[in-house]
Amino acid sequence: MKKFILILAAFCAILMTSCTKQPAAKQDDNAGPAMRTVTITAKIDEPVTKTSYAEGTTFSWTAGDQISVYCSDGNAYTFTATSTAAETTFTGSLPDGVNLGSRAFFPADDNHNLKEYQYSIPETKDMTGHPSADIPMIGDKGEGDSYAFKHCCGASKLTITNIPDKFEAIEIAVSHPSLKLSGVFGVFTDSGYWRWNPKTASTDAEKNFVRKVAVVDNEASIYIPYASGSEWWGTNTLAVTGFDAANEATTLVSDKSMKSIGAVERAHVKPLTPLVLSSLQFVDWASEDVETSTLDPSNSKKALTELKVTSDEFFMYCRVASTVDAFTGDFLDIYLSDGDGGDNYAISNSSHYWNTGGTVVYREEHKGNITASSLSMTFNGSSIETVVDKDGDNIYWSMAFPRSAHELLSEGTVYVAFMLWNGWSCAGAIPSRYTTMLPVMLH
Amino acid sequence: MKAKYIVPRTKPVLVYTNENILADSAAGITSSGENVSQDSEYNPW
Repeated sequence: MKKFILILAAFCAILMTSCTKQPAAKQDDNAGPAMRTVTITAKIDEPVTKTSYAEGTTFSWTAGDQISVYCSDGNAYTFTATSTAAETTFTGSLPDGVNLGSRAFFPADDNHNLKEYQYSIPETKDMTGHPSADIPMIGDKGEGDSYAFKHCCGASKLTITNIPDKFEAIEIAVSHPSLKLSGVFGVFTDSGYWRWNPKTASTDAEKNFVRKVAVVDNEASIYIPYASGSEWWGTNTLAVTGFDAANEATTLVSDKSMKSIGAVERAHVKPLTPLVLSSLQFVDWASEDVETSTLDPSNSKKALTELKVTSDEFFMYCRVASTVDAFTGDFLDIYLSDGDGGDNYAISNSSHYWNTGGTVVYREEHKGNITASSLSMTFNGSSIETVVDKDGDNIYWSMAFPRSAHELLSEGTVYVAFMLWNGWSCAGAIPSRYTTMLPVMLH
Repeated sequence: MKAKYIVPRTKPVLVYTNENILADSAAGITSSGENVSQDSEYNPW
């Protein structure tokens, strides 16, 4: 009878394996528990968020994504996606005798502990090796060897664009003065899935969320997980650091304020308006692509000596040069025109507007110390990034005009001129330092 | 004859059990679709 039972068991085992869709398992020749390769499938019924960086709203696993599967021996085993698709297979190794359990988790880092209903969002993470939205998801085992995943929370998507060419990766750091952006959170399988506990950060580290990601086509994004149904209120602070091919770090953005994000819903992605970086500090002013006007001082005093202008998709960059002892530090005027005034200068003493053949559509005047390290200026309501450099006796004012701030900078040619005032006490307030109008074809 | 010779270790085990898995109910996880969508762009700047 015992022999009959054994034979029956063997028959059943053979029958079961012959019906499977699983590939043949591999024998591990090394010492220790024998391992076998197991293939499972994983999909998600929530098609919005995704692990891939591709645009669009269709969920996709990315080849190389890793999930953790909680198995019958109480351990979690890592399975790796074999392709980029909305539903794909994951392969992993299990010891003989260990069966797939009912739960899986994404991402498969060391930060999940579903037995304690916890997931710990790391404060910092280098994701340059494998781009991923990295939004936590919990998977439920269905029929056969398939798992269906649901998002634990919502997320905001922060995109940085117009990243200068030299940078291959950037690190984006978001911090909040009190709310918890990283640390241990509760993961549940009821309708909440994800809970703040507590909502307020208990350590400074929990106020931070820092991710290093690769730059693709001058753009990079991070997804910031946030509890479903929670208000992400208050002012955040943003910093962006660029890394070149030698992994040298350069500060691109520091202490920039970011307004309240508002409500975040589970399984929703809230895309934030991309932050456009200027390349002001990286413009190659010696490039032949830069329009240049070498100036001839119009009187005996030293004056503006050079004007250079160039542009990219988002900004027009200007740099005007003078010498440190050419002025007492007073007024700097910028003129943008739709017409060429040529050499027909005529400055009105009373209004000090540029009277030329063209129509001046923008004039900005900076009053104050123009030798400071930066100037406080606006362009049609938008702030202008400025840099003031000194090199020996030379001084250079550089500025980035956001092209979105005025239709004059949308396309075609713009005429640019600068004027330096040397103080009201000078010759009846007649400005003596000015550039010619430099025609610039916008890129 | 011992069982381990009858069921080679190299074959996948296909009997999935729920032993030693999370104690909480799986009732909250369903495979039904939910009304999800990408939110409209939000400007925090």
